[in-house]
Amino acid sequence: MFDVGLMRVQDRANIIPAIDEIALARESEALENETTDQLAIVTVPTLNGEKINDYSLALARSLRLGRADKDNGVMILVAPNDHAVRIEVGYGLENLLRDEVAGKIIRDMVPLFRANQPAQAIALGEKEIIGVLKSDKRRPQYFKKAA
Amino acid sequence: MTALRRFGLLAPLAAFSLAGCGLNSVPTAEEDVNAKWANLQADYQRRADLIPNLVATVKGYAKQESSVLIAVTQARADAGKITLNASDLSDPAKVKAFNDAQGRLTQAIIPLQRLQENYPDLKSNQNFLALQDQLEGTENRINASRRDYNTSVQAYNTRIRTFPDAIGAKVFYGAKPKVPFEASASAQQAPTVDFGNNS
Repeated sequence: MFDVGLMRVQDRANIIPAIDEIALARESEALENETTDQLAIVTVPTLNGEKINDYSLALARSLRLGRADKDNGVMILVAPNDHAVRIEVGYGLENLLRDEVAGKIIRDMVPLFRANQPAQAIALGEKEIIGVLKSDKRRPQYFKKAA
Repeated sequence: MTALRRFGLLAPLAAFSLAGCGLNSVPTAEEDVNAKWANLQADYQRRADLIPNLVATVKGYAKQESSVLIAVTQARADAGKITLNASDLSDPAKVKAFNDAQGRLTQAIIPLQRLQENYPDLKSNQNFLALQDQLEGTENRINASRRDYNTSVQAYNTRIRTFPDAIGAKVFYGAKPKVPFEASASAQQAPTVDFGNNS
């Protein structure tokens, strides 16, 4: 389903250097090992005229992000040619990665996109998301390691 | 379930078996519609809960925009007056009244979301930014929940109108088709993040 390293980072718009892709995928893997949350990073050359919100929800659902029982998937979607970025959050993580938290992370990323540093912007977004997801040590994941 | 139904079509006798005539599948489909409706209703409620806070925050910064704020407050009050229960979902007039009122609120909110362009102080107000993120997120959830609801309604309506489930739907339940929520064309546009010219 979602256990292939390559699946974690899908740079379809080709804006992330390969070496950075590997680093991003490793971070995502480390996160999953610790919290079971699944973080994917997807870039697309075009949204095909769709709104990024609709596109990203459909994409996150089709990737089946997150464990089915927890709905704990997160996806960073970047559409550079549409000048759009979105963080799609599974229901299971909405209490942690709330709208205003995701909004702030995007606002932190935007200056780097504007400076034409997409890989750095995405790395910053990933780092901040992981920081938020690891911040709540009361989550059951920290008591019982999921198989 | 589908395998059974497909089999039922092949063997005429099976059409008389209870399993093949919608005795179970019709209520199951209806429960799904009701569950999707509950999600949508919760999203509308969340939006209604957010608006007073947002209005109060904006008030301090943009007194000139009182007409926008009054319109939003009024639309929210109007939408709050119209309730729609799960049992009303087959009533086109009630669904339309509810949907129209919520649609007017969606329209009223749009200028509120663009205010920050004219008021730089608002842009740096963390409270305002947080509320606006929440409102935008809620609008997204409303759109997603409405689509899920409509898909579920379509499945239900198809089921109660097609053989063999139509027999059970009519005989046992007197099932009526449910009404989908039509989105107005102008309600489709939500603001997106623009990060300038970096292509």
